Amino acid sequence: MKQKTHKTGKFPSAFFLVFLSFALLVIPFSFLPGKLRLFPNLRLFILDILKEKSSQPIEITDNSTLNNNIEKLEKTLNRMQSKKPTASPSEVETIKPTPVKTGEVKIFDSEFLQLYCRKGGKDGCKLWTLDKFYNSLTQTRNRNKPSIISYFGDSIISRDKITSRLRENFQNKFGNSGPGYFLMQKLWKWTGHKQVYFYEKGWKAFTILNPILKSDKYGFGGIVSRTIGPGAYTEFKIREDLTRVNKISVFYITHPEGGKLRIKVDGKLITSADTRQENQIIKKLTIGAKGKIWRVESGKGGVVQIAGVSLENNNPGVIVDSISLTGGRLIHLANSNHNHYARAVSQRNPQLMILHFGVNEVDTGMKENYASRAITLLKHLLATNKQMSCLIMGPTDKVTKSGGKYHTLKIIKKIIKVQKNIARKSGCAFFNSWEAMGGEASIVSWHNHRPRLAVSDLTHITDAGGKKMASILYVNLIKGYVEYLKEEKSK
Amino acid sequence: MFFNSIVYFFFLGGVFTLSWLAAERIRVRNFILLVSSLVFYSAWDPRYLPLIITAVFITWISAGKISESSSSKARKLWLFLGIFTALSILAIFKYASFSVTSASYFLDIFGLEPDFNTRILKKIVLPVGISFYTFQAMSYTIDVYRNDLKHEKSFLNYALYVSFFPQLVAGPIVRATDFIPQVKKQVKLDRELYAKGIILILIGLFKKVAIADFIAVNLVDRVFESTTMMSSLESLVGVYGYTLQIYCDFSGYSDIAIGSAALLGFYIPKNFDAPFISSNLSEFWERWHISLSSWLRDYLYIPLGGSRNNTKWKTSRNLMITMVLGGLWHGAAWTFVFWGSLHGIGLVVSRWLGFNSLHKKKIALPLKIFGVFLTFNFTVFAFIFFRAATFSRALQVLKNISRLEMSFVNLPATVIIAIIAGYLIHLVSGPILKRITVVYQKIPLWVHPLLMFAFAFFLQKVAITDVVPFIYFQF
Repeated sequence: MKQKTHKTGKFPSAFFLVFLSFALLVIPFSFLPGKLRLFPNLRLFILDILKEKSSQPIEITDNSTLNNNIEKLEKTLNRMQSKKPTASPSEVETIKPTPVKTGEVKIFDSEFLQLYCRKGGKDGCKLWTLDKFYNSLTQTRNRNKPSIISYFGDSIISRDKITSRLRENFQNKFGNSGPGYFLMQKLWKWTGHKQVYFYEKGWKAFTILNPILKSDKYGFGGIVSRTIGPGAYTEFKIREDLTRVNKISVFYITHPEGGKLRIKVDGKLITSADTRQENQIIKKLTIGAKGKIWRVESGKGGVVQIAGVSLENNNPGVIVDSISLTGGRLIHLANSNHNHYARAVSQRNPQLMILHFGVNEVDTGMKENYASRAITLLKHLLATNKQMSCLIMGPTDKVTKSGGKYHTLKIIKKIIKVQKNIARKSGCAFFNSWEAMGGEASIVSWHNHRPRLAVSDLTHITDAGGKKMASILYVNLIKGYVEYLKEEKSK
Repeated sequence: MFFNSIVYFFFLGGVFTLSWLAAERIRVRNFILLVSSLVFYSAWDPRYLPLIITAVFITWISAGKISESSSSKARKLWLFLGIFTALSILAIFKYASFSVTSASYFLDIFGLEPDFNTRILKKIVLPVGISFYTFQAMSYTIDVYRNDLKHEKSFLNYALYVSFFPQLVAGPIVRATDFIPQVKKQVKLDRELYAKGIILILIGLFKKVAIADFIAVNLVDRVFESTTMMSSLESLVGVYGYTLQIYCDFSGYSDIAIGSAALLGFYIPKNFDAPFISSNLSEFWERWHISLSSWLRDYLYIPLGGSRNNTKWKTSRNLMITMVLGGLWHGAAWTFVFWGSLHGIGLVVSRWLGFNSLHKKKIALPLKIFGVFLTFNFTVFAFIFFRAATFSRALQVLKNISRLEMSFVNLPATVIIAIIAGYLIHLVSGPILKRITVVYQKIPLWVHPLLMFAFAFFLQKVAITDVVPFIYFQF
């Protein structure tokens, strides 16, 4: 192989052999099974050449269409809100009462949102799954009270991904009531919130993902932060160009050997509370103040357990909580202490609870009691929180490649089916995120889109993807709201 | 087909084999290289193939007519046709949407309500490499007009010059005087050229995959896209990270281009030369994107009057025009115009203060260090506007930095290591590169495939994302 000189115009055979040897080394390592496969992309490339071209292009709703839809729907809402009957006859047409069974799907102009009837009747459905939320939204529009949307999810909403745009859309239209609920700790480095910068020190986290607490009490967000004595704190700096905060609620769990928790605003102590109590129960401490930096800290004494903090203002608008449990599954919530959880939900008092899990179920599968546990919890929550609606968001797409083509994993379709059933049986609405993305193998198109809407693990969506998903969700929620208003007017 | 994809290396291997098999028959070899280049180009979008062929054909005809004509009027007319063709392609495919949107915006400010339908314009996809091959074609026509270059009678040779695939989509912008003589003769691949080619490709890949893409995904994109979620310290590091990212991305591409050309037996001049150790902005532009800055100097700044026999104001005007248009060349957006203007102002002020030629003089070390510090930080600041999608986003990043929040939860140690490694590898040029090449030459050839395999495996592991397009592809 050694070549000393090379003449002009001659074939450089030695160098050619170098490249050939390299190729002969790389190709076999691309086809080895499992972890021995070192160059998977090369294998896919070769298979693509040998077989057909991979996935079919999926049509992704462009942002301008989404914005146009939002604009149109908001104009419709404005017309319906005006006291003078300026709305077109089609918008206020009287709907003839027809019998509707409990669990029946509502027929309306929404591609991905399914609303089920919670109370059927001969004269039509008495209560659709999102009516409580829509009722609250009407009161918010009339400046009577705020509406809280608590959005739970796995890594799909980490870094405020879907929730930031959803919050922006709702707050632009209905008013800004503040940034919402926060866990005390950033358990994952990618945790974040668009309207608040926050950091913490000294807490130890206990989560429903790994439930080891004897009390089995993890608060509203499924994570409780605990410390003994002074030194632990979480500080929230409000982005004043984006929101305002003039009150804080701290959700803490009492303890027989409890200590003190303190709330400071801009460095000044505004209140403190004793967390000592015989039973461990969740409590809420609310106080108003003005300031930019809000700090919740442990004081002298014993155990301080804080489940979370809500930052709000007095403006009657919308709050969208972003509660991300990376690696979380619906079963984690379903297996929690139902009574404690229902109490925690009552204290937070959201008008809409959104649950967005499913992709992590791909790895673990769904055990037999997956659906029944989830239905029991959701029914319990809806029964104890009468003014709340709930919405289950189905999983996003996840693919496998076989025969040179990408296919959605079969289990994704199964999870969607099971979650849809959970929603219908428990009285929640269902949003088909998979179809909203474009359906079969759509994550590939989201990945190929510019800007990228999904990352190259073909599982997670990017910030841009989160914004798109949020806009599609918002459009569908508002379509449901327009439908609700039409029905209310016709009554 | 990106340079950082394994597919490219199979393509390069194929072209290498075919072109060297035909090495003794120059026309056949050139034909193979031309067809390969067109295949390479159409791998992005075959619909734009006629565009490059039209640009090549019309500028070649124009240059031929210029060279044949003795009448000054006819020569000017053919020059106009050549330049007009190249600029029209750029105007339609790169700047039409931007121009109409901007006009609509300004008319709106003055109370006029324009009703331009920009939908069709927005559907125009920017063809890759358009800014590069149109500039090469233009420079050729101008050189023939100026009698600096003899018209190349072989269309094949000329077409290969404009479309040679290693430099087709993102430069370096090669001059005809450098390249056309090479296509006319037989070439050879000795051990030194081979080693240089391989080393440049490996360094380029390392810069792109291990540094640029890594810090982009893990820090820079977050700083510029989720701005309000980052602390001041994170944003600040992100801004320095972006400067390094764009350097590693673009110089990495140039390295692979030069290395690929070397393996095919062609020489392409370097495009970067450790720009962050420049002691003033003039020196920076002599080290950063050298092929573009020298193009702008020769075909815009000097024809405008340059700095010779001019008043201070005229020289400043010429500098500003050159840098603003240079900014616009990078992208059809006001942020790029602003970036170019910042550099224009920087160069003007530097000239007024007499700093512009400091690097050519012997100066005290502290002064040199101060100059490097100032120049580097100025370029970092200007790059904020280069990267941000809008002015408001750029201002948001600056505002975020001014908050003085020192948390660093989003700053993993690996990112810091990648940034330090990136700034160190940026110093690898000239003599250091030569030394590495010499060492590589000494390694027995049978070890080379193993080394390449190990390197490919390393990159595969480091690449946390899939193949990420090079930033300069969009220009």
